[in-house]
Amino acid sequence: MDFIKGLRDRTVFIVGSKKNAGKTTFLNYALNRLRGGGGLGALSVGVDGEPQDQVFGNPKPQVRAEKGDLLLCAETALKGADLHCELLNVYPFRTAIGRPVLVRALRPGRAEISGPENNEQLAEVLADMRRYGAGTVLVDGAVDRITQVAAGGKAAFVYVARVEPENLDSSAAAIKLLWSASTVPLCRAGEKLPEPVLIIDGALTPGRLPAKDVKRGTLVIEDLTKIFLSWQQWQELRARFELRCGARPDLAAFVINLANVSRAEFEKRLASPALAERLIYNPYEVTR
Amino acid sequence: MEKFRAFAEFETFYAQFKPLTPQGRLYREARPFFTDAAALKAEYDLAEALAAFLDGARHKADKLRFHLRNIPALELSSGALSGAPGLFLARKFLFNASEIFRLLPAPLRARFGVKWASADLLALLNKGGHGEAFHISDAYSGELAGERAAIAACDPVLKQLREKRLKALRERWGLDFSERDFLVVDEKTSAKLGGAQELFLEPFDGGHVTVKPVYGQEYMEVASERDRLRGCEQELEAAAVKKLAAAVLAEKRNLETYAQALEKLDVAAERARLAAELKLVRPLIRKYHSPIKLAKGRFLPLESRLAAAALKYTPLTAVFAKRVSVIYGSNMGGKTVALKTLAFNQLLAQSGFFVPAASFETCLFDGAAFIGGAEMETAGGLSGFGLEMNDFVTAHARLKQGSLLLLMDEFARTTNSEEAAALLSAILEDLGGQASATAFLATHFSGLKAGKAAASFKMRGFDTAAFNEYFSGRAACGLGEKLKMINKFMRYELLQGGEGEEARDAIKIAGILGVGKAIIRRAQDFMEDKK
Repeated sequence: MDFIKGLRDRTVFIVGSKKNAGKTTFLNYALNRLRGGGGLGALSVGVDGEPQDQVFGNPKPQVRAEKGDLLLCAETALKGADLHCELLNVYPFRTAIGRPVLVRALRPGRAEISGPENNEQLAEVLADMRRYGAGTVLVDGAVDRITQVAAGGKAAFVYVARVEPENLDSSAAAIKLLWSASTVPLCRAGEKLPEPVLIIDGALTPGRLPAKDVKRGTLVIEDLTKIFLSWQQWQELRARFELRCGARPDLAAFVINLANVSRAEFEKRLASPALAERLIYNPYEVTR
Repeated sequence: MEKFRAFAEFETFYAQFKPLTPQGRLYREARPFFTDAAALKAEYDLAEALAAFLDGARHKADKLRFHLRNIPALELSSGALSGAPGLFLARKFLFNASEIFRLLPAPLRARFGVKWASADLLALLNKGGHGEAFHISDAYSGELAGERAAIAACDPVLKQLREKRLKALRERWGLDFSERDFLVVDEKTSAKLGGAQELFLEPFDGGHVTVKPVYGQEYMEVASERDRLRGCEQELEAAAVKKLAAAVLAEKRNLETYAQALEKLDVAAERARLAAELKLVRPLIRKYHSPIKLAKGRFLPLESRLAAAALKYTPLTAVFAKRVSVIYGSNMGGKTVALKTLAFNQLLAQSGFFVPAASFETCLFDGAAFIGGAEMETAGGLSGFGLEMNDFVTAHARLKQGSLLLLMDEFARTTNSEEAAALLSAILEDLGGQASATAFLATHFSGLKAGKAAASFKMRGFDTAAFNEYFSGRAACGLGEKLKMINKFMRYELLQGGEGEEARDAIKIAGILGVGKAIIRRAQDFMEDKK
């Protein structure tokens, strides 16, 4: 099944491996593909301030809206935007680029989307978007906002990575870790688990790993967005412990934008045919 | 004042005071403490009037809360109104304000200082709105409608030209741009596209090229015309915004008056809600200094803690006729809670709230201070005792500035009893002679010489007879049960008199809390010897 269609009627966080991984480009692609199946909404979380999309070298892509689309834009960005719209809400929280404004496009146009600064505000905006008829909401996430996924309830996320020769190994490791973490089962009430059961609240960092003398047991983590370990540390952890998670946001897809790296090279680094099957390579690329 | 608030655990109550409007929230942050009887009466009157209006009218109360929650912060500078968002907020403010005012009967509107005079302005702003939405609509300018119609005519032409070009590209080159703004192709493919006029190529990486459609002259001309029209539209929108902003600014004074009225309404509605939910009554404010009369006064934080632990709570009833009151009592006998109950009710009353009591007669103080609980603190080289003395000096100096409610809990408890009693007696005597002082001292020291200006009280204490009857043959186990035992048999009632009487419950309490029977018996022997 086309994975894009599986995003319909969900809140989809598009998170990236780094700045300019191609998130907004993918967002526009997803918006195009999802049209005609209910209301669409788009916003971002975080402003990364880069004027150019370095994946494709274009000026940073704005979101192209069709009549009826809901967008969250900064007050300042609205003034110069090619968007005739009606305002549905002006939020009282201030961001570095002004108040966020929820708008509905009254005809086709383009605008730069913006976002709130914390999860509480994000929840308020998402609720408003739903109230105003958005079925699918796409959230363009900044690099450090993958954790926002956890705030989205039954949200899905798409991980967009730009892979270049310089970051080939680290990109492959990050993707393998995410993939592996996404398979950690949910912690269920009454389940008999190997003792001791250790619960990690918040971020799982190298400093919070159980001491080496704890050889076995169960480690419960909040969710995969809270894992800040290297691939090697993660592998060691999996070997020592039975792992469980408190929440499991749905990892809908990996979108991989390769630059000067071949698929074969990248998949060799991944060393996982099962994972390779889940990858969506640059959706703009024409393969013959 | 902060220490007084902390002692009274005022925050546990104040956290429930949640005004819904930005104006009300600002009021909340200011934490007003009323010292003017007329101003406080006005606050009470508004809360009472609104409570009477909303009493039993669930629908009206819900509607009021809905519109209050939708009132935005009001910014009436020309900068804030220089765009559609500022006007959106002005309309939202006016719309919700008008709905709220319409909900109130005329006499109540008058009490809150409401004179609605912005129907025309709201009607003007409503030309750009439906429901909660707002935009600079065609209704604001005949030219706008024309420009927009022209833009609307361009869009299908552009769409048609685009689709035509994309179809041609698909047919000629096999490139499908239908859902993509551009494509990435390998070098081999790009070599074949090299001469295509209808494609724009640029490098993507070492082996790939980005390909974008070139839509052609006709498309560019229509797009360019559309851009020109959009420029005109933006100019017309800006002119309309300017006119609308001027109309809003012309009514600045009205809007500010509405904001003030909404603040009062919001605060009064919250006070009325709390009064109904927590069963609060309106205090009776007398002139300074009048006796403080508290009937079944409840200290809500403790009441809820005890309820959670399934323990009984005893409200406080007392008449404090004199300006200086000394409360004697044993450990865990409820002296501190008596002080807290008084502080809590007084703070609520002077903060504009009704109080948790059957009745409360009091007077207003210009300030309030608390001294106590410093035994574990040290600051700036001062010991707990030093801090208490420092606090007393500060409070004493305030007596020159106006009336002061001074609560002292186990003052000087950390020094030896002989000197402490002497110091306390002198302080009580001094405070008795200061007309601006109203002081309450809770102590387990006995026999203080407080002078004629002071009244003595004692906590009724432990009910030994009832305890013995109940306890015979039973053994208390955990701390929870021991506390329940103390709670069950301690009589938290304040009785008149008690001066010179010694508190005699400490040994019993120590026994209940698990101190060995041999030690308890020996302690009782020592007490007998002393007698």
